Amino acid sequence: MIKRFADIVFKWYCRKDYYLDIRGDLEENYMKHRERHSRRIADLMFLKEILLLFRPSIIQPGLNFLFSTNQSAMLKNYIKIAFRNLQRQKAYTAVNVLGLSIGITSLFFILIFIESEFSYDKHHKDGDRLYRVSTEATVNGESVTMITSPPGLKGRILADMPEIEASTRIVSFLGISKNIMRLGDRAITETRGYLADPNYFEIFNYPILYGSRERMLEQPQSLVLSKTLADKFFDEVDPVGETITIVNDYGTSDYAVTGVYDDRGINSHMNPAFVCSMNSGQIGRYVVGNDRLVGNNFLFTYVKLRPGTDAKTSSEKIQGLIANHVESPENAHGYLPVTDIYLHSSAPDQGNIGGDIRYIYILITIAILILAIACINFANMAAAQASKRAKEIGVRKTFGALKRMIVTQFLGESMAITLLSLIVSIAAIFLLAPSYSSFTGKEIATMQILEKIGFLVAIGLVTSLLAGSYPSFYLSSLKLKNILGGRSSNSAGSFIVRKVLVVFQFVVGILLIVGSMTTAKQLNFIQSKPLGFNSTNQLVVPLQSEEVITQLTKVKSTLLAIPGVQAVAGTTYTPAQFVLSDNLFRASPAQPSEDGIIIRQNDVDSGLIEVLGIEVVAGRTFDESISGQADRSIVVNEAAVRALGLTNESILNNDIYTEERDGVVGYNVIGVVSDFHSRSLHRPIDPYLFAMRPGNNMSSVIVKIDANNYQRTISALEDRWDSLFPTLPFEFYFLDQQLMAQYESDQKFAQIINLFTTVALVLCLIGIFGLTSFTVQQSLKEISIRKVLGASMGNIYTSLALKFLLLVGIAAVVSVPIGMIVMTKWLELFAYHINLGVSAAVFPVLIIIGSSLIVISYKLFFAARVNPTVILRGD
Amino acid sequence: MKKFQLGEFEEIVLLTVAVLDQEAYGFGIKEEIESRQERSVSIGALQSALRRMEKKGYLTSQKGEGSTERGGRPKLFFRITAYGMKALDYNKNVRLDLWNAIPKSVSNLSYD
Repeated sequence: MIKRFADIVFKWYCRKDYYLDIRGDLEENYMKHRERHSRRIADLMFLKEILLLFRPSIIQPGLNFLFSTNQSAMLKNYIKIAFRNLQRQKAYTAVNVLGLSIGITSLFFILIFIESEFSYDKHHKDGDRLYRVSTEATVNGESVTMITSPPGLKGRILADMPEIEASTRIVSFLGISKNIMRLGDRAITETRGYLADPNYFEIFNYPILYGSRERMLEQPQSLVLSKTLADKFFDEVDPVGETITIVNDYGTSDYAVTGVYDDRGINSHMNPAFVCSMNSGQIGRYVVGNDRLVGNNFLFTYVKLRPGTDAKTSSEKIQGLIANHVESPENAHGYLPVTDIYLHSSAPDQGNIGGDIRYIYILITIAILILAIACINFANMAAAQASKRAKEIGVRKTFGALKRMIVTQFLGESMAITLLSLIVSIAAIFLLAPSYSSFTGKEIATMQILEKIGFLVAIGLVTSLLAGSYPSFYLSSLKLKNILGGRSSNSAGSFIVRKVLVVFQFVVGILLIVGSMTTAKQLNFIQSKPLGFNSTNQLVVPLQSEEVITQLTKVKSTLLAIPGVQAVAGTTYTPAQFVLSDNLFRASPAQPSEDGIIIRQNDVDSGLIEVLGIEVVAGRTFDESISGQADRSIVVNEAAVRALGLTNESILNNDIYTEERDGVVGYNVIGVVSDFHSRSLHRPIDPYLFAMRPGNNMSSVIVKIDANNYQRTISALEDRWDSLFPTLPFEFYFLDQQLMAQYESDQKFAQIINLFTTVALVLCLIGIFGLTSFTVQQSLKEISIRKVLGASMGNIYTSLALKFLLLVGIAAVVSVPIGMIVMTKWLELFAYHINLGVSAAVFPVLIIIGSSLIVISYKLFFAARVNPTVILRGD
Repeated sequence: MKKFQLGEFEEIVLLTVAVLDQEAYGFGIKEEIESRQERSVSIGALQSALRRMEKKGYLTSQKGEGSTERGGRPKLFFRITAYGMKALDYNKNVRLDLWNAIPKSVSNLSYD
């Protein structure tokens, strides 16, 4: 890739009639190096040759001015002076280059990340006309947007709404369930599978490698594989016609492979690993024979509108249209552009994978802030050099240099520093690219970096113009008689500009510290908050297939016999899973069903509540020894009691009612448990019930094990499992880890914020360092005179530190309220969160004060030891 | 008085072109110099010397065939001109004159 880049450069500067044959020589030379060296080395040698070819006799005539003596003499002098200056002040150059390269590197990675986040679903043909139909429902008095819709909707809107060109539906094999795919003796576990209507691949564009785009989902039990998945089964051969067995909660069935599509390098919110024809299996048949327009919101409906259709008007028509066919069309529908789904659809509960546009905005802000800090540092330090450079400018002016020329010179110098920083940044980017990939899970190719080089150069140019303009205009406007007259060259005005800039840096520093401290605290709070049940030493073992589910009793007794296993109980939903099943309940059968409240229902084994250690506050839990209507007995949580408007006493041993297929059914409440967090702490606790209805399939068993020797227990579990089900792999999770996975995106966010806060802080400190150096330099005479007059180190230190503390104070007044407002908003994303106390405001300010005092002390320590006579001698 | 201006490197290049006769093209010349002299030659230095001497009239060039190892790009073959030979000859003579002018006492010096 370096080679390609170098070639482009060479082609650009080389004389046209020389290019071809020299390029041929270069190629031969390259091949010779390739025989002996790695590609990288050969590429670098190629680059070296290209650089050495830049000579007057080879470059285009148009570029010859670079070597002409007349025009370039002044330029050469500027460059010479610039590099001399950079060399002479090594610390200054290093600090500047370091700051700018940190800024540019951070900006680069943030931009690459954002670019990839915005690339989702951009590949579909006519993607701007694709929408997903959402459903607006009212749940427990709250309006809720569901990303799913009823099965009959597609047929209805296609028939009645001419503006809809096409529509397709997909059903997820419910994100939570695992599919075991088997071919011969190879088995692979895959979660991202869908059932889809036959026109799925006509609406969503993926390159089709094998099979027919139009027909591969027509037949029942057809299976289309992604290239990634196909490669795991087949080695680069056409798999069409092969049979793969899929095992999941719904049973075991055979699918015929009818096609392969290319998913590599394509980002989509659906991100499917395989797609089956809709007309397959139990769910598929259920969907095909189902034309309900209300309720049964379990599939995703996508529409493609005709060009020029207004999406909003179109979506608003749906409810009215349904009203013609259904008595009470209680739900409205909306459209969400497919291209927006990844970043804008916030429905993690509903199995949605996705980024978050809010985090993107925050990242953009941070990127801009970091670059701003780097520029300000640069400008500040360059201006601080003024006193040293004033004489040079004076001499130049005496020899007739115009203001314009001096501006050019200083802009040129800032460009030189930017150029150095760019080189450092590019090196840093190459070094850090692997860490970026492992952190974000996004690959980053060398080509991608090189493509961005132009962009980086542009950033560099803008940076150097921004950062260089202040010092260059400031320096060029210095009055000649002031400079050469030895008067102090600092007007009050310029100093105020610099102070404002430093205050800005303090503001950013404090803001970022407030942010990172709050996120850290909140995440810590989540990890340590009692959840109302015991999550440690609990193993979740998914019951992957029907075969296992039907033998649940045997599985339980076998596992329980293992020493180290304390208890085993089955459950439909583990505490880390969203409970999809719910129903409307009411306290009396006389109440209308609309007044009911939604209670999430989880069918469990008798021992589950005890295994999880959920506290029983009234009544009892399930007991198999008490005969009777176990299938009508339920245990509710306190949130359900409150929502029903009852008390623990009044609900106990009474019935609550719900509508079922055969009319109103009463469920007897035998116990009340205290509220526990059945969902992530982003969400409040829902009304919840445990039931023990026969015929409901458990999805997992929870195994409570001894903390000691748990590894031995787990391997014993695995042995037993293998003897029971030799064809199914043994799988397990630790419940507490599964719970933490709910906060993965929050944790990622915290890590990113922390990382860039550190970067920004380092830059801020560099800035403070620069300005202190300058102030101390400026006050050397003052310090010396004070010393001569008998001031102590302490006095001098105090007077200098106070100047800075004042700036920090101003910054605190500005930044603390902003930080508080922003972080309160973020915390509101969690139903359970910490409160921002005084410490959230005080600590960041103290950190800033502390670190600037350290820098000041360091600088002053050296300044104050200088012998006053050395400094005062000159005057 | 310098009648034929020829730098040290230019002279080497010109001689090598003469040695290679029909086969003198960029990369071949570079290989020849490198193997004979154990010095590394950059394509830039070589090409700029070749073009310079072509302008001065010491060399002429002619496009050849492309080959696969060059990615199909044509070779540019250089041949020394009579004028170029004259320049080499002149340079050699200048040196010979100098050699011949070294007094016996100096030329007898030996370092082994």
